Amino acid sequence: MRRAAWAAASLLVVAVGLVPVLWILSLSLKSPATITDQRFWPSDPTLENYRGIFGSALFTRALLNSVGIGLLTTVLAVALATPAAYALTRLDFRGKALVLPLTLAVAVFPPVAVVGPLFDLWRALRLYDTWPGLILPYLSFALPLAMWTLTAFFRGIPWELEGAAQADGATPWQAFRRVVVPLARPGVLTAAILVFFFSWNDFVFAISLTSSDRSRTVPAALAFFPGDERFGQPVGSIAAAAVVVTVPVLVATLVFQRRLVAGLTAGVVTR
Amino acid sequence: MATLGLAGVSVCGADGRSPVLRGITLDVADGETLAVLGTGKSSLLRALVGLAEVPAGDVLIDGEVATDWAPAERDLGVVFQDHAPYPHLRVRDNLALPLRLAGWPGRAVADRVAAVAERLGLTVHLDRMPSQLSGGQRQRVAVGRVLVRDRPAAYLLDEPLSADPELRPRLRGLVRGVTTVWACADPAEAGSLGDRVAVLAGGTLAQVGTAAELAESPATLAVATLAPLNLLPGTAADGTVRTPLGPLPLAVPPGEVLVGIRPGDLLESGDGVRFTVLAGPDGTLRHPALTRAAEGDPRLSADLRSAADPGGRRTVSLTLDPARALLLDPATGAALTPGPPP
Repeated sequence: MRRAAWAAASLLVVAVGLVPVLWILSLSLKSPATITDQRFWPSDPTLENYRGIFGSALFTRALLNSVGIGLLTTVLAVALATPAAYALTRLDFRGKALVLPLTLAVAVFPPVAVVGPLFDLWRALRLYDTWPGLILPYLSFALPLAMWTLTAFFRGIPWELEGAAQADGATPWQAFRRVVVPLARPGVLTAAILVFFFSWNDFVFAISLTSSDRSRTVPAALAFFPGDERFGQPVGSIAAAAVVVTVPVLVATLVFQRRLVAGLTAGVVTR
Repeated sequence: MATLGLAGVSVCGADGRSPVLRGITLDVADGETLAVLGTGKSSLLRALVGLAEVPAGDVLIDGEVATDWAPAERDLGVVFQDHAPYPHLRVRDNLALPLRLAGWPGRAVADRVAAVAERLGLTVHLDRMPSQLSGGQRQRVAVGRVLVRDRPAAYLLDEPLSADPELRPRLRGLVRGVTTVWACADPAEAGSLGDRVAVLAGGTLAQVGTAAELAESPATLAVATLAPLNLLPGTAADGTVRTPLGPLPLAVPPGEVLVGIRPGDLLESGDGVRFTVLAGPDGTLRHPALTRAAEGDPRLSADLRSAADPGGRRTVSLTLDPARALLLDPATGAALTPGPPP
């Protein structure tokens, strides 16, 4: 009885989460003629919408921008946040206690509050409608996010193992490479995925700080899709594009989910 | 094969800030097993390994000052208490790591790992991750990681196999003849494993000696209470120590003292000071004066064959040879040596 109740509740939650996704998938497979038929399953599935968006430079260029800006943001954020988190975990220095709260303070500014001034500033600095013009504001949010994730993760690493490896005959560098790096890898991966999702999904900065397909990312580009008819909404194309941008996120989550749930450190302590 | 030594060493704790051990001077002879008891065992071992800050004094290996040597240069086989196996490596790779670090060829590594796994009963677990093992199995992996190596200069063991007591005598046999420092939680275990026993207390070395020496003439309260001990308050004056049990003719400087009486020294028949206690049906011994004393445990313990008497309460007459009583300074815990009786 209890199990049945749990199963029902779980199903409900999954359904609430999944129905909109399936609805978008369904819309993306409908032809312009059947898009308004209000049926859940497309009666005549077609890939026409996908062909359409991949045939338009608007979408393919936006996809390139999204991937490029997302990856650069991720690499920069992780490369800077990893040593920072290492220092916050392992070293003693003045003002250490202030670093994390201050980075959080930076991150809690709502994007909408920042975007106006940034618009003016970026125009003056010639950063408007460029890749760095998006990567920089993304970093201001991605760096705190990565630093918090990594610091929390690094605190859980049994650093004594570094000494154990040295007692086993490793040089400090060997101990770092053979023991610390593999133990830190799931945390770095987690931080990288969170940062990538953050920049991949952003809309506010993308729509405000770009004006052409030089740097417009997919969430912003969706608003510029031409309709099938003069006053019609390009519903099918938008749905197809939405599916395409969801897929990498979905695949990454599924591939890394076991690593994300860092069960690796379970069972380190002998007690 | 090597001797180990500490000369006036202070050791910082895991946080690397303030010393947790001060002024430790200690020698371990070639081939000797030294058991270590008390608080600060792990810090002492970490100083010997080279993983702790040593702000004062010198660590000696074979008579050479090794204080600044890297851990890998010291050639010590170390079993750590916690975090024993590397969590990201299978048991097989855990055991192989020290050999790979030493540059062994792959074939020889596999052979040695198989042999050690066999000896420790880990063969069936070789392809498991440490998280799939029980606590005892994990400790065996840690022990195995030390045993795979060619004989190191010395073994340092921090409560190895605490979850696997039956394997301890075997490990004792495996390290026999090699200089070993063995941290123990249990005094009885320390006495049986170590040629000598070192006791750490209050951040210093309280005493080093054979188990018999420590039991016979403990230097401090910490050492004395490693074994069961009745502790009574006493007052010294005029060549007599007054205790709740009665006066003991012992000459120490006047003032408050702690009187320690080993259970084994309370005899039903013998020479010495005689007093009467009440034996309860469960074998507990009480003394009227102790029961009335506001502080402390009113019970006495003694190794009496006839103490447990299901018949009920009765009185027992006990004797104590005053020379066997331990006198300790209540402020410092240091042992007081009585002078000749007046």
